[in-house]
Amino acid sequence: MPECTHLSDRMPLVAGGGDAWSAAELAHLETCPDCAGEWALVQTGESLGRDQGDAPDADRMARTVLDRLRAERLARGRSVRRATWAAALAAAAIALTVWTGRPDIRQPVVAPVESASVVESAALVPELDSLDAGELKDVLDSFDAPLSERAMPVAPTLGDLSDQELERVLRAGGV
Amino acid sequence: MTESGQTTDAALIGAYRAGSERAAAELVARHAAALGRFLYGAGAGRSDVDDFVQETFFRAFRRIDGWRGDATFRSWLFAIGGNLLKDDFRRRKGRRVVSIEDRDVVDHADPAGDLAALDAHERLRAGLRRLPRLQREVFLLRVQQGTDYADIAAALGTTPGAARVHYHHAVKKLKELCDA
Repeated sequence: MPECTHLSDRMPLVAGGGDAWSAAELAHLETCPDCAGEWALVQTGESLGRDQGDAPDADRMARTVLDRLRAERLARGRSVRRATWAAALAAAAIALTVWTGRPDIRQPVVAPVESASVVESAALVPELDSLDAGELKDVLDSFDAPLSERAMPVAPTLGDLSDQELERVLRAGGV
Repeated sequence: MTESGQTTDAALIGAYRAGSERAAAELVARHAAALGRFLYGAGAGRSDVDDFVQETFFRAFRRIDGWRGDATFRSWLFAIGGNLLKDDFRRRKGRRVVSIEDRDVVDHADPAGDLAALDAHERLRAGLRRLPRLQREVFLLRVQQGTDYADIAAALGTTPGAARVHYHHAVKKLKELCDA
């Protein structure tokens, strides 16, 4: 058995022409069917594909492979650049949005003008307690009516403000 | 440098990493034919071998940093080629297209001898296709390249002892399949 293992280990070398069998090894091969069967397989395996014809044109193949690698590197570089630009543009857009979204302190701050309905409600609400049921119903009905049908109060103007209110607005506006 | 004055694969890989395309061309020239034979033995169709060889080199160079010298460059290359074949086999869901060229008959001075050799080769290829992948690749690395078990183990991600066992199982099964 050790002889079989020894021969098995040497078979690829001998089949490839790197060495030759000794007389003792040859004698073993002739008397051991296991080793003879393996030797036949190894010889067939070693020559497998040798009849394939011309070896591939290594120069041409290397050129093709290197061209493909270059093309891939270029494509990857392009996509990285594109992603970098996209990220930079996105960051710029966010910065711009944040900047323009901030209240501009140089703009005069005008006191918010309340909408007509708010003014109307504010004017009515303090008096509701003193109304009787019929008056209260009329007021509530007027809320349900479309805005155009309601009596529109006159929009307040700066002239309606008290002196202190007017001064506050003018101070806020930097006037 | 090797004893014969040839630049080692490791040196060529270093040069390629440093940007030398000439080193890459030298690596292709050194290993393309052996890789083609390995792929053919492992089941690639004769007409597909060149495409597989090219794709193997493409993948190898693309991730050349993955080669750390545990296995020889050739064994590492063959392992990539083996993976490629496996992926192709899966893509085709086990179907194999045999082209006319895959069964062509060589025309030499001794047609009877060539036919006998072709028959032995075809039987062996058919047998190899029926082996588990590790057994097939260990067998081919061993008999075609004379690769030692330690190198086979490093390339295929197994141990030298397991590689030896795979080889002996392969031989045993191939004897049965080829003699049947």
